[in-house]
Amino acid sequence: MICTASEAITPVNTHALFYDANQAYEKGEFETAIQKYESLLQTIPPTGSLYYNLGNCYFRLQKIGWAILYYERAKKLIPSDPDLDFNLRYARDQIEDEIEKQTSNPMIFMLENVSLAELFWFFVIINTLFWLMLIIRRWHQSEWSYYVLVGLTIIWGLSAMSLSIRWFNDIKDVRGVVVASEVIVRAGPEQNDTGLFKLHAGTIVQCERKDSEWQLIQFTHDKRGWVKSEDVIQIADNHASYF
Amino acid sequence: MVKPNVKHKQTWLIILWFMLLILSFGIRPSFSLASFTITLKLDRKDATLSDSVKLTLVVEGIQGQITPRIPGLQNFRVERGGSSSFFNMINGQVSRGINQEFFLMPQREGTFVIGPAMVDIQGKNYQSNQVTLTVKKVAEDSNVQDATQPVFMTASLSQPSAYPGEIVYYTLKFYYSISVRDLSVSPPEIDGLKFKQLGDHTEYTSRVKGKQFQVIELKYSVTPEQNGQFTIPPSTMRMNVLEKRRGSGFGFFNDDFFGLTTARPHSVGTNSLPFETKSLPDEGRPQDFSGLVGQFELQATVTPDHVKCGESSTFSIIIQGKGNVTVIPDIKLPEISNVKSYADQPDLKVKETHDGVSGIKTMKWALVPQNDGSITIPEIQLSYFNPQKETYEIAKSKPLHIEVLECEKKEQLVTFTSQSDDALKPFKKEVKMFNRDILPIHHPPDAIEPIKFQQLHPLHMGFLIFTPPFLFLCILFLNHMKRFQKLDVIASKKAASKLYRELREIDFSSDMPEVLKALNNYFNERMRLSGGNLTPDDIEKELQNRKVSEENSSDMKKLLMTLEASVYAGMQGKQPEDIKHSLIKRIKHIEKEIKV
Repeated sequence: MICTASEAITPVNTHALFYDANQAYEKGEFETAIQKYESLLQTIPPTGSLYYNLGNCYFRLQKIGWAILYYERAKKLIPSDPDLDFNLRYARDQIEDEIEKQTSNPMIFMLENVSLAELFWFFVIINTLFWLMLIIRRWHQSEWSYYVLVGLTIIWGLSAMSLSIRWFNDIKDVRGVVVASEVIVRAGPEQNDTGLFKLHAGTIVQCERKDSEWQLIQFTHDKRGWVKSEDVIQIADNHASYF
Repeated sequence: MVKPNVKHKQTWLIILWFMLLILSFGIRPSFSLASFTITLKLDRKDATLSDSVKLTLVVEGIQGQITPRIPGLQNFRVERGGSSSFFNMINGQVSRGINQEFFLMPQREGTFVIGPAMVDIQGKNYQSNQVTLTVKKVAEDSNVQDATQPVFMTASLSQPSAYPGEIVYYTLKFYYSISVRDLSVSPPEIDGLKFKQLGDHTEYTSRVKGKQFQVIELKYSVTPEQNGQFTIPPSTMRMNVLEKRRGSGFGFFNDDFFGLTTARPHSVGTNSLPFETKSLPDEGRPQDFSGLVGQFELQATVTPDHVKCGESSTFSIIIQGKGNVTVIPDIKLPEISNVKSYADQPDLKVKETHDGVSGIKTMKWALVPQNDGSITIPEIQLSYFNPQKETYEIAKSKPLHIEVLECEKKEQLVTFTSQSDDALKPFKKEVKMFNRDILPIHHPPDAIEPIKFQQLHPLHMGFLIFTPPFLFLCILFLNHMKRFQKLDVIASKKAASKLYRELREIDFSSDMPEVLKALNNYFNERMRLSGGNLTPDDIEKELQNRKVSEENSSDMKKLLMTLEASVYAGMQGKQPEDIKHSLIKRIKHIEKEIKV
């Protein structure tokens, strides 16, 4: 969906555009709503709600793949939003392919419901308190300040580790979503290469590398192959850069 | 005050406590410490006398050696295949267990029930499920003569004809005795017949005409959608066959891993199969025929069958069977006088496995009698067509009765009953979702306001994170400088007492150079100078810079010049003792005035 709006979008009329997009959605004009939301994305930094609304529009158009893509993008920004969680669960239930259970690191599993922004601010506060307590201890070495410092040290270490892990995961996120209704995964990056297996809209895969119009993906450890780049879109979006 | 060793111990205890507290929020493994499950599995349901079948016993919840007892193996020659243990952690759920494998070689034909396997664990006896294996003399597949080829495939139908709705099974068996990879197969496509793969493929070994093959078996359900005669087209399996390169004669290096084999594309196909769909007979068709084709049973129950007036009883109908289970109709409860009924949502569970398509549909009603007495629920009927007997059959339930005890006075029926009274149990319905939809979009204007974090530049983030440690380091540095200066000041104040000690030990009559040296050191330390040789003029100037009076500094200069004269020119003025006393007195004056 490419925005073709000719007028410049100023901060004042971003809200008007958002309102129009919402109205279009309420009227059932989902394609129009998508165009307006997409044009907003061209101009303002993405927000979780913007991605969430886009996911809803695609869901209404029964494009489950695109819906899940945008829900997953929203999840990076507002992971604890209950509406998003509800809709994403429902959308995932529509996926035709059986998702094989994957083992997960308990620490990473714990971080999924906290956004990077929340982790960052938490670390900033703890970091400030930690160094402040160290400064206080230069002049006031009491027993209570000692135990407070010990506790802060542990929390500081854990929050630093959590922030690093989460930041690293976000940067290294190579997950992609199958957006085509059905895609044949082939043994090579050519149309006449052997078809290995099929995937359906909404299935999440790992994107390894690209080769002109094709990209190498992995579904499970023994199911890898090539698909057309347009059929699988990566969740990590350039729009989602924090800088 | 806590002793250092005890304090360290306390510190470690606190650290440990904190770690456990925080980790307990993140990790929530579930260990099934007291529950064990035992499962028996076969790698195939049918075999011939020349096959070997793999039997696997899976015990979940323990690790270590077990000694199972498995009845039903007297018609097999059994060889142990080995055992392994597993440990999984998936989304915080932990499971562990043991797999034990056995290979069974059938000794005679027949259908055999194996199990249940029994294992003693912690003094208790646990049992598994049973499995059934059918052994035939020879394989029934056509194209068995193709056993001369290293790869071939056979297709078979469970029956050559079917009625509309009747499910027929189409089985593909791919035999290979060489290395192959990149296998792909697609089921036949033909108008009027719907193919659906049942479960995942199975793999096993088989002997065909004395030759051992690996077999991959795929099973599909075939549902006729229209009447007529069909020819099911051949199925094709495409693959890459691995061949040795010329010159690669070393057996160990024949593996594809070493790149000494090449992959040659190859495909094998099956024969086409004729298939006919027959019309359901008109003769004997019930008026209320449900459209079901297969074998079905109907059961009806009512619990409890003795209730008090106003209490409810649950009436359940369970229809289960094999066939086109997805079209099992919702039974309509007949009208029962003086009974209010509340229907629950029907629940259909369909199982598609290599054994076929089966299903079970459960329908429930809550019945609330309004009067006392006996209530009769008439029999429920379900008609279906049995393709094996080629007749219409009716599954029936027996009439059921509910005895309603005498109602109390009507006024009391309206009284409020306590929820805690077990004798009067109010009927509670499970809340089930009968529809699903997504929640609406986010409207608020701040939905498109970027969060503060997104507006931060990396420099801002660095500033927020590194400013506190930078401030700490600055304070540390300043503190250190101050202490260093203090030390310096302390050291300079001690210079006088050091001088007095030295002067007491020096013999003024013969060791005047030492006196000068001691005085030089004293002035350098006291005034925190660089430590070089100081002239009397330098000393006078430095003393005056440090707030020593002109009189005292000038006297000191004269005294130093006298000492130098006695050392360098050998001039004797005052007596050594007088010089000593004057010196010490002058130093004391200076100490009172000097400001460093």
